[in-house]
Amino acid sequence: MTISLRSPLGIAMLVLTALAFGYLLLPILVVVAAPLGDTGYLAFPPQGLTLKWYAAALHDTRYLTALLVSLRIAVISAIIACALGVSAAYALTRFDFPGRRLLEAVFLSPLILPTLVLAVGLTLFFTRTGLLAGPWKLVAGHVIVCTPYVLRVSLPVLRRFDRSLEEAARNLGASPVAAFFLVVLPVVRPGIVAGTVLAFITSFDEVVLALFLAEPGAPTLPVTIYSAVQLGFEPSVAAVSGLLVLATLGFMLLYHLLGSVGRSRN
Amino acid sequence: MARFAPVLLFAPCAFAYAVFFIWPQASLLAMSATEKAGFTLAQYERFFVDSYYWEMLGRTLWLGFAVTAITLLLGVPTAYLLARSQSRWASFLLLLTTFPLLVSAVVRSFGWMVLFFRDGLLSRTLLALGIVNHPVQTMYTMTGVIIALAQVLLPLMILTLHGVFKSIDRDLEYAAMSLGARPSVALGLVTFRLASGGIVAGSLLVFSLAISAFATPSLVGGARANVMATAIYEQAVELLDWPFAAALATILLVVVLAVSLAYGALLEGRADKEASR
Amino acid sequence: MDIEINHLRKTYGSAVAVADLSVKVPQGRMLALLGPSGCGKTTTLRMVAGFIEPTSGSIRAGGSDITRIPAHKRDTGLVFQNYALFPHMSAAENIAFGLRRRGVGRAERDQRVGVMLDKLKLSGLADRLPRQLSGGQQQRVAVARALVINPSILLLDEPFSNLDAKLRESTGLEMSRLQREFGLTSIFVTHDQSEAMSIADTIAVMKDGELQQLDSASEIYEKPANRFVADFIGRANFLPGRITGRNDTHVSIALAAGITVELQASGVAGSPGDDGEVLLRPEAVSVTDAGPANTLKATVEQISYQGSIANLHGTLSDGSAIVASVPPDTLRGLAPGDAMSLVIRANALRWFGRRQQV
Repeated sequence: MTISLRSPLGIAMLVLTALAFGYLLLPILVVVAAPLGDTGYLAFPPQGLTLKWYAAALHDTRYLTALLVSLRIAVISAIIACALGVSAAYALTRFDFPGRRLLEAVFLSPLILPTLVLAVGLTLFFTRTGLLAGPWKLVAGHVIVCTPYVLRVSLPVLRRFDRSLEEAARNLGASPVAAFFLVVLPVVRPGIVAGTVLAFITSFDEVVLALFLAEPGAPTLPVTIYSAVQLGFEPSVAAVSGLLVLATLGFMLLYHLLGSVGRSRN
Repeated sequence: MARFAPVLLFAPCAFAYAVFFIWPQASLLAMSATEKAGFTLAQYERFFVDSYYWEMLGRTLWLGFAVTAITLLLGVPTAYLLARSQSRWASFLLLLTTFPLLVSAVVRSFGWMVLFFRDGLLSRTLLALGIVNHPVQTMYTMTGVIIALAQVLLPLMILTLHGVFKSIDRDLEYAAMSLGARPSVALGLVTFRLASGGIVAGSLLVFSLAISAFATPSLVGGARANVMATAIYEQAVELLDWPFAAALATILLVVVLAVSLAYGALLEGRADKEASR
Repeated sequence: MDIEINHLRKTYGSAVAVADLSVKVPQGRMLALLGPSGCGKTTTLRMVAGFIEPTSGSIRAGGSDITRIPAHKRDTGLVFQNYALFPHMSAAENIAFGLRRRGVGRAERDQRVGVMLDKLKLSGLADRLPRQLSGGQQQRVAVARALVINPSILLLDEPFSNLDAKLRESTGLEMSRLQREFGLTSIFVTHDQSEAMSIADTIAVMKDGELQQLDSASEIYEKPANRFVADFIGRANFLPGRITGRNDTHVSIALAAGITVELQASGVAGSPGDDGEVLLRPEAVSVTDAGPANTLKATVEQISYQGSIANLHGTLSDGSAIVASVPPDTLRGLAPGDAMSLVIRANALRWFGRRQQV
């Protein structure tokens, strides 16, 4: 560290950093801890200690159904986004063709487009054209917001990929397709997995498109929580949110554990 | 064959974008400017003659500035310390900053709501500290929206700046210090100067996400702290005034695009300046 | 299998990478493509390997035209500059890759990989991943991977440039031993002239996409075709001069440094009055006692020792610089600032007229 942490500047930076972490984690802590309270309303810090709200949340079929809807849509959207994104990223990095930069900019542009604007446009579009039915409307919307994430992660990975590896495979007798699957894909896989996981999480957490495009009878989990929060502050919503936070934490730790296991094995 | 390989590879993606992105956005734009008789700017006129909407646009931009300022104030030192620290905790802490990103904004906003009500922790803390002498309601205020949204976007600022600071060679700071600069001066003259492009990039990212955010303003702000995004939702879903919703969406889109273009121009201007040196 | 490159040309828009290259490599021989970066040597190699499609011209191997054959159907083994080992495969899996692609059965594959591992002193390292191997070991895996498929043509793209100096020489000799053992026709790209001279049968010196000279190492060193080749290969002094006389056998050239030298007429294009430069290799200069006629008078600037020889840097009377590589015991106690007399071997001189300077 160039800056001494005992100098006034260093102390100021440390204090702000501590504040930042407290600020980042406070609302998440609230969501996990508040439903532990024994009161009939939500309070933080919780008063008393009970697991009854968490138990109630686990038994509430509304949330369970919504969770399954969310998982299904997130898995399908992430797989489609991965296929579209990776093949496009490979074309953009491996070949040089006129309009390549423009195409890349267009493919990444949903990142800066307000999701709400996309949602309004898509709702109108589906109403007018009658295209797609059931969960596929939402999947289409999520594919558009998820694909840029896959691209943003896999483009630099593919750009850094050493082209001579592909040439070596070709020189040793692999066709272009075989070279892609035997050499390119295994080497860039961590990046593609990370992009796809990001796409999955984006779809799973997404609420705006889901508010507009989800099937009326089958809202996603974020939509269900959103509606419940708007209606009132029952502790069971908080318990569901708390469970979601804990599941996310578990998922993140698992991903990093697997990642570091994979790294040490290779 | 080789000539068509790239086309075959990006065609599925291009098709999906054409149908589900470009076409819907184009027809949205068209809807905002047409009626039975043909082309009209009536919807836009409705927006621009009404001070209510001007105020709302102002509120939206204020939200963007305030959120950007808070995330900068907390994000710059955090990202700098994490990037320069050699402790093994640094990577754990960086992981910890990404964690809130993985939790839906709906859930995080909900956490703030519990704190913001009149009898919530925030109000009671302020009372106990003697800063206020009667309970305060932060729910349904712009202050509440700003606090909650800055938390939602802070991880993005930290991650962007962390990458920027990591890419700046720490030896530059030592070099400046060996030439007689105090540590704080070395930091200001070298590191922050070099990081300024990345700081601007992170700020514009946060700003454009803040002015287009929906979930947090809608939950924490409600009807009383109306911003562009919530107004679009209200017009479309509750009032079913789709042409006006389309016009509002287009205006928001133009603001966001202007921010992105300003960012691009800024980057290019910097590049030109560097080149002419 | 011999290789025949005919009028090969590659352009990118208006930029010419390879202008018009025609070279033959007989069966079992090694050709070095030598030149500075951007001279077109790597582009040529990649066209032979099939990674780049030529703009025009043809490449024939063993009599058949392979110009339009895709890379994976050509019978070439290539050792890459950075080795291009597959990072997710062990050394043995890397070596087996080409055999798998050719549908070689498991038993034969294991056997052939084993032979290659032995031959390249890699036994015991079979299960290591590339990043667990040293640079020299990685290089040997790359060579094994290229040789195991029994290619009829071996292509080497600066295969020694990432090795340290000591390893470079032994690996180079090992490489040319293997190349002879397998009877491979080989093309070897390098920017390092000593590498090219030590292992190649024939050297093609290239510059800006054009072939400058195609000859054996000794011919190229002793009879460089032009000033570029003379300068690029080995160290060179260029002394300005003017042709003063010419008869059937000899040409007289007056050097600006004050003496006149005689060259074989056959090696000099030019007539009396022409200005130009005389190439003088540092080894063709030696220090002598002051006095004899036709010695160059110079002032010592600096002396640097390189093991068995000393490089003597001096300034001639016309102000031009000269370097002499001499045995240290012939220095006779010279020190910077001293005056000295230099004698030159006249048969080691080459004349380059002004117009010839490319």
